Amino acid sequence: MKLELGKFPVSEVCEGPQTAYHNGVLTLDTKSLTGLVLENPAILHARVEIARPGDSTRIVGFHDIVAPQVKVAGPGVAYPGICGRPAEFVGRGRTHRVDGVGVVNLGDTEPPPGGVAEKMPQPFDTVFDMSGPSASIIPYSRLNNVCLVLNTDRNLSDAARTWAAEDATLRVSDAIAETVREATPDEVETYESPEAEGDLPRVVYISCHNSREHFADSLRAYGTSVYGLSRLNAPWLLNPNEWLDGAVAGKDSWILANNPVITDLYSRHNRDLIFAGCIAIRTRWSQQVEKDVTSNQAAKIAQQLGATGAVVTWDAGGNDFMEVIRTVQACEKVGINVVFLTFEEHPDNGSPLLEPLPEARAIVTTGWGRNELMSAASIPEYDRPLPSVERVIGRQTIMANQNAQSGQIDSHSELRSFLWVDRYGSTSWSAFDY
Amino acid sequence: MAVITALFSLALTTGAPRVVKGARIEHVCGDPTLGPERDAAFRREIVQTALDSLATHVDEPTLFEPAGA
Repeated sequence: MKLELGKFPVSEVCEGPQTAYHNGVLTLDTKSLTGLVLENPAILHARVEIARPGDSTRIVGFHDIVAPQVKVAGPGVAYPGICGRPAEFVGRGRTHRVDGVGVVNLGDTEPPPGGVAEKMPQPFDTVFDMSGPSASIIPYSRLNNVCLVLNTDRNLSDAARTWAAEDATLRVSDAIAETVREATPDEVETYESPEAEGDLPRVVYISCHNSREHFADSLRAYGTSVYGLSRLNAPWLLNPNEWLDGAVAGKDSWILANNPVITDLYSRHNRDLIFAGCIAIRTRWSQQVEKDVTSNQAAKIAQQLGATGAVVTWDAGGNDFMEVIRTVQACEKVGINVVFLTFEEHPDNGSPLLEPLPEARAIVTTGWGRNELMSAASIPEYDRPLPSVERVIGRQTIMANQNAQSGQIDSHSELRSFLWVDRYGSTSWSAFDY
Repeated sequence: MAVITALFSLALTTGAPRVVKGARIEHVCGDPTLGPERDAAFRREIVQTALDSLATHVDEPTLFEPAGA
C-alpha cells in the first residue's frame, strides 16, 4: 500500500474574498464557510474565528481539531466513515494536506446570540493557549487555528448535536483542503509498506482507544473512532497509511493524523526495523474476561504479523489501563518486546500506573501533564501558571482547579491548574513535570 | 477484608486479601438481564460468597468465585 502525502505549509491565515491557498497564505471566505455549515439544519449559528501562534488567545472546551486534507488520487475520502462519510478504505494514492492548520470544533461552547450558556458537564476543560509557557509544549498552540464556534439545535439528542458539530468541522476542513487539490506541493512524502530483504526486527504499533459505549447514547458519535465506529469491538488490523488519511479520528484528529509514533516508525522502516503494521484495540470493556480477550487477541495478531517488537499507546484513564497493560503483558508472554508509551496518573491519586505489571519492562513516560503551581519559588518556565489572556474562544468560564475538578473562573484569568496529556509523544519535551 | 469486583485481576495484583468475582462494572453485585428472581438469587450468592470468604483464612491475595459469576 503506497500513499503520497503532499504537504502545503501555511505561514499565515487571514480573511479574504475567497477561500484560497497561495504561497503559504491561506485566505478564508468566512461567510461562505459558515454558509456551508448552516446548510445542516441541526446547526443554528456558526462563526469562524482565527487564532494565530503568539496571540494572547485561549481556546476552551474544544471537542476536536482536524488537519485539513483531501484525497486527490486513489480511493476513499479523508476522515472516512465519520459522520456518514464514505467508508472505502484509505491509505492508497495521494493525499494533499494543508499543513500547520487546525480546524477546531467548538460546538455549543458559547451561548447562542442573545441566549444563555448551557451547563456542559465535563470532567475537565480542554484548553490550550496560543502563547505563553505552554505554547512550546502543546502542538495545537503552534497551529494557525480556524475555530468554528457553533450552536446546535437543543431539541436534538446529545449524540445528534455532537455528530452535527463534528460534521460541520469536517465540512470546513474539506473546504480548506479543496484549495490545494490541484496545486503542486513543495514536498511530497511517500509512505510505502513493502519490506526490505534481511532480518531486521519487525515492529508493530498497538494503539488503545477508549470506547464510550457503556456511557453514551450512541455507538459512534463520541470519542475516537475507527472509520466512524467507536463501539467496543474486536481489535482492528490497520495499515499505517490509514492513520495518515484520518481513518482513526473524531477527537484529537489532528494529532492522530500526525501521530509521531506512526511517522517515526515509518522513518526507520527498512532501515533498522520493519514497520509491520498497526493494531487498534478498544478499551473500557466492563468485565475481566472481555478485557483479557481483547489484550490476548492484540498479542495474537502482533504475533501473526511476525512482530518481535511493539510500541503501545493509549488515550484514556482509569480502568482502561487494564486492557492496555495486559496487552503489554500478553505480547511479552509470546516473546514480543514492548515499549509502552504512557502518561501517568496524578501523584495525588496514588500509583502513577494503575496496575504496574512486571512484564512492562520498557516504559516511556510523558509525565502527568497537569500544570499546577506547586510553590511560588523557582518555578521552571514550563511549569508556570498560564498568564491571563486578552481573548477567549469557546467557553467563557473554566474550571479553576482541574485536578480537584472544582471551581469556575473567567476563562481570561490566570490559570494555575490545567490539564494537557501527551498520549503519543508529540513533543520532545512532553511532560510539564520532568 | 474482602472486595467484590468485576475486575478481579486488578484487585489480586494490587494485593487485596480476599477478592470476590463480581458480574460487571455496571452491575457488580448482580445481573439485571437475569430477571428479578434469578437476579435475586445471584446477588445473594455473591454476597454469601463474600461473607464466607471473610471466614476463610488466606495467606495471599485469593480469588473467590460465586456460582454464575
